[in-house]
Amino acid sequence: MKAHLISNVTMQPFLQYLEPFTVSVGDFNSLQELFDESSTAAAPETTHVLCLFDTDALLGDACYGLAEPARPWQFLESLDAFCERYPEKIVVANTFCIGSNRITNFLEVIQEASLGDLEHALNDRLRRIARERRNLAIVDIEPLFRRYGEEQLVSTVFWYSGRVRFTLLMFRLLAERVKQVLSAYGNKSRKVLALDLDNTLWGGVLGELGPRGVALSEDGQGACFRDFQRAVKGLKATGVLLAICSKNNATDVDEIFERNSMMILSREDFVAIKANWEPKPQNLVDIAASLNLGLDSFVFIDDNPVERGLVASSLPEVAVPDFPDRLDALPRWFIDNVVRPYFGRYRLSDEDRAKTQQYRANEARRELSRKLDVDGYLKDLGIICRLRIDDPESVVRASQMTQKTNQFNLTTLRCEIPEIAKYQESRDHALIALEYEDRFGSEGIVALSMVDLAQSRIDNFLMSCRVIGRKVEDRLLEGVLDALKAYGAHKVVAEFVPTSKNLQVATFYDAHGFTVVSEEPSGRKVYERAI
Amino acid sequence: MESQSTDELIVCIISQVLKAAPGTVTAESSMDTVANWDSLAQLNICMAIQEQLNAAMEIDDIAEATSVRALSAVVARSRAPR
Repeated sequence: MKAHLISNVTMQPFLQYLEPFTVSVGDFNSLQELFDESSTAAAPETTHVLCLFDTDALLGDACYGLAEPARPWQFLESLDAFCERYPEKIVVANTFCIGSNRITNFLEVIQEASLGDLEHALNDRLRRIARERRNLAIVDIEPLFRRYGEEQLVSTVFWYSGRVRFTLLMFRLLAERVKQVLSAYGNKSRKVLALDLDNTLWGGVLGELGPRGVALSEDGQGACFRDFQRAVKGLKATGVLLAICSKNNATDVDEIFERNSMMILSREDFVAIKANWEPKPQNLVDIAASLNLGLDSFVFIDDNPVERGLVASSLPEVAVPDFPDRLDALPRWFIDNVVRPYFGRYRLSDEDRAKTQQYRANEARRELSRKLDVDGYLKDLGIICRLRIDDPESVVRASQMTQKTNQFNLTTLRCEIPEIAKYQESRDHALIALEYEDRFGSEGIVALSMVDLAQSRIDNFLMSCRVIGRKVEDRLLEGVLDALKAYGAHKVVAEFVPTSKNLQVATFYDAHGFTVVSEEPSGRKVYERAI
Repeated sequence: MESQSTDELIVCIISQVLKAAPGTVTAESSMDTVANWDSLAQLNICMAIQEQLNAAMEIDDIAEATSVRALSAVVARSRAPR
């Protein structure tokens, strides 16, 4: 990764906060790199362009109502053109935020075409560009101003002495956001939030106070927990799975779900509930196994430092954030210290939104499989597979899958959205996604292949572990071979690249009519098959 | 005493900003005697001093207070009762 920063103001003091990333920075007024084909921003080795600009400086005289605000619009056009011309680069830009030094003060509220309207219109256009250009990520700085205020974030003395607009506090906050957007954009977020119960989801000890005696209410301490539950439920709606890992009697937990009307979270919000007296690391391992997910997908929240320490030391892959000292800080702490760092999302796919339901449907499928033999089970499931070939709607999900799928993954090629888009858009490539449905519900896209048609080569072939054992991979392979045949190919080349996690597919191609043409000491194998 | 400890704090901040080895920056140092203390570093140094020592900088300070002693005087001035 090579990142380059361009701006219309001095940003050098910002760079120290981007570590461990090293970022080069353009010369003074480097926004012009956007339309200069020989610039560092445009250079092929630059993978990320951070375009962090100051709105007031861009407006210039227009800030005081002395000119038409032409420059920000021109800037947006060049940003749009840059993103279009370099789809493989990831561009990060901040939102427009006009300072509060407004000459029109009282008029501002009622005036037509005010600076407020302008800011809104510019941000609207920026958002539309980001929706269309999948390689543009936006960092919204307006919430920072709302929380900390301009006095703390903007520096007047350093502005007039060195064209530095922001204070160090703002640079730190901005760097944190930029890093979070970068990792959210690569879909490197975690998947499961595992929660303790007593003094975490409510105040007090359930076993002592009873289901109606715990602190959970609309005022006082109980309201902190209730707001925390609201935030947790909101996180679930973005596709994060919730689990309970607590030391409680299971019957007490059943009871609070049934009898405490102040509970925001319901039993159905959780994909796994482990309320028992086993050590918590063991419970987390069991939950991970039942969901078929690695422990590195987990974040664990517990008010008890001893339990946190035990999990952190025995399961280092699990993220274990500290719990806040003050209860009133709980909801905000959750957003700042848990949601953004671990569950940052840049784009949501439909599969994300339906995730909990999908995992619960999986439980029902497992129940059925215990009763039937495999073929009978598959028949009884009523599986329907739909292939979506070169469908732009699949791109976001496809990128997520390449980032997250470890076990059923033949080459473990991780791809960000622009790379996937290349397969989707090019006539010589194919993006083949498989959508799965059965009588328990739809799973959305669960399997994926990226094919270089011109080279007759399968670059990527992977499937979600949720549907392993249902012969879905056979349907996907048929789709791949059909696409190659339609393109005019007579043979196909494929590869298996071993990792520590994908050994279950080591003989996948052998079992599907391919023959080995070469094998390396690393275990990497190249296969061929006639079509 | 007060002035001496401010000097030490400033030496410490400058060393951090410049990522200088211990002993490179002393109470006698200035922009002319420390290799990578350039105008951009000066900006970073002043921002760090403003934040960490809660010093009120003036526009001219950033161009003119280019030694440990001068920066120390800026901090002392901003702490003096008006």
